Amino acid sequence: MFRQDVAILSVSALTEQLRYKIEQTFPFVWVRGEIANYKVTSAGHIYFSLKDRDAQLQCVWFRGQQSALRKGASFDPLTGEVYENSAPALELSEGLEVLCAGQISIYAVRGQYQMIVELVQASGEGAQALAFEKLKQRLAAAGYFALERKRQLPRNPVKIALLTSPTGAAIHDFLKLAAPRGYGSQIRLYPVMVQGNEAVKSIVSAFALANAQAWADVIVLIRGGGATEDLRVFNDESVATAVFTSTLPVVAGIGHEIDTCLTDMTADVRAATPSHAAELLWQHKNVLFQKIDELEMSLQYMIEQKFRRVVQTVEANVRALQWHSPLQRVQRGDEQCIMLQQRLFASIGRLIAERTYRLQLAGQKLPDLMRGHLERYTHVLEKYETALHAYDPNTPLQRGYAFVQTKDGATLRSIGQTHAGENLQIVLHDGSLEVSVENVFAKKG
Amino acid sequence: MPDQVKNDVMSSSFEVSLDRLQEIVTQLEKGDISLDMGLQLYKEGMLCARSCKEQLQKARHEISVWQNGEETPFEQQIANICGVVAES
Repeated sequence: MFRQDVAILSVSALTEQLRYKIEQTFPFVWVRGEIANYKVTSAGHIYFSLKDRDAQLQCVWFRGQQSALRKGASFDPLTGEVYENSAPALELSEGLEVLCAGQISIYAVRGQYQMIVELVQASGEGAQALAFEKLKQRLAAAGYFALERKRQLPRNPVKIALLTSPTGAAIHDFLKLAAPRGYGSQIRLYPVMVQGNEAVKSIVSAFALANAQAWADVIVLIRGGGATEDLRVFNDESVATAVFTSTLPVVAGIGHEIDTCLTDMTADVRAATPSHAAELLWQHKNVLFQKIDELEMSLQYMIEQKFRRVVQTVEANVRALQWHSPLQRVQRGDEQCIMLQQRLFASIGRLIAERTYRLQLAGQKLPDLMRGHLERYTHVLEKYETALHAYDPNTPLQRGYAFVQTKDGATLRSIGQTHAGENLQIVLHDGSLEVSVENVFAKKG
Repeated sequence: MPDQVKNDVMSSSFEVSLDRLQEIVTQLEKGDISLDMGLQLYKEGMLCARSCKEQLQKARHEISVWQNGEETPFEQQIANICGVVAES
């Protein structure tokens, strides 16, 4: 049935929409499969199918993307990061199992979905890398790389179990760097194979032997640099486990500085190279010589200081002793006597002078003082005399006053003391009158 | 210094001598010991230093190889491999 409201798409439009959707959904995927229908065009593009038992996927690998094929490249299966190495270029051929990475898209002309390949990796290699990652994660989870289980190396170890090949570059480098270091250790070499099929077994049994003997202070496992493939032994679980379970501490120096393997990561101490392992184990003799020299100088300094202090103490005591000697005391007594005498004379002279002066001063003051006293007393006498005059009964008589006495000489002060007819005497300044009282009148009012 | 001490010092291992030297310096640093004692320690310390230096000068790593259940010297091989013995 025809429907007006539904948009009708052209084949191209539909295909375009599908292409957009599918490219958004699978911008970069890894696919594993077996190569079939392998064809290289004259332009250099490669066409093939990836197939497994039940399905197949069309793939195109354009020439521009094939640099990896030609130069040889590797990739990190976790991050997808591609880096070049020296591995031989991959030869693609019918039936080869590979890992392809790229975008899924639609080839509109044929209405067919396909993968636009960017990278091709031999499946085994990728599987190996993935297996390595899985193993690494498993060992990490089991605590192989845990920092808290790492043991400290003994300082200047004297017994070393050296696990390496007796003919490799590693032992050469190690011993060369060891020679000027430490102060004479015993190095027992346990020859092991460091590559090849027997290597894992030989390393694991050497670990077992060294641990069983328990002779060494530390186990040193070293191997010189090599291709990634050569160092594979040191990514083996059994080797890592031998390191992990070793009762003796382990130093591992595998390959070059950039090489890190599971054995390195498991070891108590990771040396970057075999030479570095020797540097980690022992101090350079020059450092030790310097240390001894420094201690020797300290010793010299200390004893000199000690002598200096003792000499100072002796000198101080000698001075103290001299101070207390009898001769010194007599001398000091003499000096003191003379000094006291001088002081005595000086003070007596001073005393006499002072007293004389004071006497003179007093002598000068005495007449003045006496005169003062006399004047004061004269003045007082005069005052008393004047006062006395004031009280003389004759003085008022001079001014015309008189007083009256009875015959027996008593002074009359009131009219009550007399009566009419009595004879009285009136005293004046120049004589007296004898009178008789005629009448007595009391004061009125 | 008694001969016994002297012999002891000269026959001690490098590490023991170095530790003893360090200990003597620390003891002298404290300064609360008599001159006699200090002098004795000084002599012993100098002897330790001498012993350390001599031992260090003479020190060589001994290298052996453990193979087929027995230990054998490895000197010749080492000389061949890297000339360590010849050099030092």
